[in-house]
Amino acid sequence: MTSSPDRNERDLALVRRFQAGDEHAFGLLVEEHRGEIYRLAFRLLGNHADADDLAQEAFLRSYRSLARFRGDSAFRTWLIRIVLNLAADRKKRLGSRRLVPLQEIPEKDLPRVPFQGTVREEALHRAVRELPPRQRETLVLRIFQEMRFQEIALVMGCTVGTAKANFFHALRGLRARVQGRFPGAS
Amino acid sequence: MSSECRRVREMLPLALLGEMESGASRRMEEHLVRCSDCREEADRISRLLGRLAAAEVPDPGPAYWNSFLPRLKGRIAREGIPRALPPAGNRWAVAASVALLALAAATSLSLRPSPERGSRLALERLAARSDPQALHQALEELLPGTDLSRPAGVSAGGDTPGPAELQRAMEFLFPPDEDDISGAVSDLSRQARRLLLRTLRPDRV
Repeated sequence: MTSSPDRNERDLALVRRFQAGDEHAFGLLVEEHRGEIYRLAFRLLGNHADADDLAQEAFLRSYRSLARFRGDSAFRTWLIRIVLNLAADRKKRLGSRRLVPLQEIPEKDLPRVPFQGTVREEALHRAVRELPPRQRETLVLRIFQEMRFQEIALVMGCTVGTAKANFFHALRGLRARVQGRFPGAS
Repeated sequence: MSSECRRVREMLPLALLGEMESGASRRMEEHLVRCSDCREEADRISRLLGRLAAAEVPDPGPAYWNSFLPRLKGRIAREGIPRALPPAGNRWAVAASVALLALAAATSLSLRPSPERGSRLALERLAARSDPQALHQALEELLPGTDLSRPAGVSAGGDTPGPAELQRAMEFLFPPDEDDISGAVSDLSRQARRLLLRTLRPDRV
């Protein structure tokens, strides 16, 4: 999933075509990135409806702003930054709705539908969603989007050291949550 | 636990993700050969990372993917989202003019320009460094026929948008960082521009 130079160049060529007035190029960019953006949104928000909404919103935002994209960063990095900003705005809007810690939920109540994975897999997703936002975003970008820490730092507007620290804390928090739910499972 | 074990454990995730320099990585491997506790810890973290990486997001299916782009295009068409950009050299001036319009409107209606002081300061900085001639030109571009040298009177009644309406327009204008403000104009919907014009020049709409 990590950005390859070829992919970046292909994206940039499509961006330039769009900027020159080729509307079809935007559709190609969407087709290329929609899967990754949807999965990122799902991992950040935890359900299909919100993930779909966020993914659509991210592409709308990119449509509006693409004309001024200069190519200083990869298109993918730029798009991921939009997703993170939108996700943060959404969390802010929803306020401090308390998530029930994983340990407090009886296993029989862990959802199996519509999630098609195992209970343990769902528990892992849930544990990720319980992490503080910056830790969760860093973890998701590193593990699922396969971004290097340098790239994560760029996307999140922090230093590489901070990105690494967030990642360590995230792993520690995740282990504590998973161990609480499934002792010996970390 | 020895201090070496502590150091190794701190670096284990980086090593397992392949983001460690080769020299440090070799030292860690040597430590793991002789320390069974750290080896177990490395196994645990490795398993956790493996499980995380393997945790799939359920695929919403081909019908969803087939509808994704048409829905997006539908929204773009319905919402009349602009994709044009003012000439690059003019962008800061245009942003500044929008800032001035917004600040004037907000002041007139006693609305706070932004809940975030940082955004307000950024806007003020933008406005302060704009060149009056470029600003005038930009304003003409944004709101044709508007004369900056004759600030329009603002009335709080009649056709003037209410605070909630204006607040929506303001939300277009006050993104969280200054970098985004430079693009505020192209993010501004036609409706939001009209809203500002109606606020400043109710006689023109």
